[in-house]
Amino acid sequence: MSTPLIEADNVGVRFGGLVAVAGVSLSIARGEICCIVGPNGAGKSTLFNVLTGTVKPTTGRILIDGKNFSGRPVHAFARRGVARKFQAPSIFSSLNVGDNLRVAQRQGSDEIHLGEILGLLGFSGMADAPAGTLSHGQKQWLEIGMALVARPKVLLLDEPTAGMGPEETMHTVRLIQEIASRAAVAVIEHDMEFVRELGVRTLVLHQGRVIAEGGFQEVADDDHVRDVYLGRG
Amino acid sequence: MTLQASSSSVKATTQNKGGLASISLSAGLMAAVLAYPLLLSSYQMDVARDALIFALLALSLDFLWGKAGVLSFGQAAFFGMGAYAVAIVGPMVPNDNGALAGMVTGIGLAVLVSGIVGYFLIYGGVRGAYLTIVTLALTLIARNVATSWASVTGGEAGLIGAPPPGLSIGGWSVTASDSVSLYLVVAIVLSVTLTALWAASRGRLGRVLTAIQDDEAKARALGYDTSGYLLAVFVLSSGLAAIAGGLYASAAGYVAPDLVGLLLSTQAIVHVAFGGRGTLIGPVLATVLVIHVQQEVSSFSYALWPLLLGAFFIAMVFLFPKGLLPLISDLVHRLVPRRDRGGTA
Repeated sequence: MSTPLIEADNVGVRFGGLVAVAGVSLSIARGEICCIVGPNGAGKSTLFNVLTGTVKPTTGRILIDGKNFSGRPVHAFARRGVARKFQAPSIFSSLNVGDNLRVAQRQGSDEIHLGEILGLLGFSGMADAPAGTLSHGQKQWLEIGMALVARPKVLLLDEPTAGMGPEETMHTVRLIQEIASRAAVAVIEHDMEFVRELGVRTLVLHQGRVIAEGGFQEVADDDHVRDVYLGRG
Repeated sequence: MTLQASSSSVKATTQNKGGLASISLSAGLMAAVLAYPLLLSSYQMDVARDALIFALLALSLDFLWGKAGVLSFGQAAFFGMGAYAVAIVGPMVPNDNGALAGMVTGIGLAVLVSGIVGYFLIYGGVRGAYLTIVTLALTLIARNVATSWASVTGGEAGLIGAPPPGLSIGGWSVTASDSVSLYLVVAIVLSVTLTALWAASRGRLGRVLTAIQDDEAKARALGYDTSGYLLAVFVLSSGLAAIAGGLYASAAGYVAPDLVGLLLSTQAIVHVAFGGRGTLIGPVLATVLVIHVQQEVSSFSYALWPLLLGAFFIAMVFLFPKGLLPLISDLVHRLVPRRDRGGTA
């Protein structure tokens, strides 16, 4: 495997007395997709916040492309190529679809690449549509597109299929697989059908710790994981 | 799976065409508003000139409030810095460069103060109502300095002898001291500023500022130093307010502490809200209109004006909260059938 594009090295986050993440290590290389699952409050979103610089780790380091980024501001992470899709669809509803992507492009303007992204998302001919009028699923895709248009090295997706129907979810799976050829991708997801369909390396978090890691089937068969998810533990 | 472009994209295209029509309409209106006072008596021209100066102040606020979403009560403080700098520094400078030197000093002071205060506030994560309250304090402090530091500012009485706008290079010099040339100087500064802000807001900067207003956290996650953008707009807006203040002192020939008051800041906010926040030209036209009506009403009855303004403002909040310009364009869209608009635009 090539050198990882993003690496969390024994990262811990503590909010006052609460330990949100305790000693998690994770590395993702180009072309790789990593799924992060776990019950509510397991520390998934906090881990993402650390990987994007929104939250500074109390202990441990974040390496991007081999360079230490711990303690750097959010926009420094973004400029280094870390893009994120938030949990709730967060798009700029006062701008139209095209301008959302243009803002996301940040450096220069590449209308050809923009057109490609529109096509990839299934938004051809919709560049002038106000983003506020899109359906929930379309907003989720637009946000993925906004992450993509800046040609990120690392793409972090927080519940990309939340609120989607089965058909939309499958479209999202194909979209993510398409994206993985260009970047390292990490996905937080609750929808087990989605995780199964994606079929990639899966990390199970529970109370801030990694309790299992491996292929989807391997993780799904793990007794401890079953206990945590079904509440028998 | 198929995604349809639906009617929304079609609607957006008509809106763009409507936008082009309204741009030419507002440009024409603006030209008429600027040219009309040149036909009037010199007294009325002076009143119109002051209206344009306050329009410039409202414009500086609209760039900050309308485009970046930061409501500031501090505009009067920066207006005052510009005005007092011209009245204090101006007379010290020989030839006809006094006003210019004072103006540069005032802009520098406004940029420095807004830069320092803005840096700590904006990078400190202060936003919304909290930021507004601090700008309120800024105006109160400026007002106190203007009234209390009498040896420099002239105290309650103010200062007279601010030099008129002028320029002198070597043996050649020019000053604008009569009503027509003063009016023209102000009209030109206002037009240039309006055009520049409008052009800047149309492109990338406008998009990014809209994005920050919509969702600042998201804009930051996309790699924008959003605090840097907000600070830049805050500083630019303060500098513009200082230019307006400098022009006022230079044209009127005197300054008084009233210019730094909370009333002036509030007035600018009313003008922006009335004209349509974020429309840039709306607040300019609104200022001219309000001051004109104020004059008419006050000549009839002095007590009537504040009552009328208050009642009007309350009515506005209920009937057209977005302001006058958006109201007019809404009416145009409703009255003119869709087909006609598509054909003519």
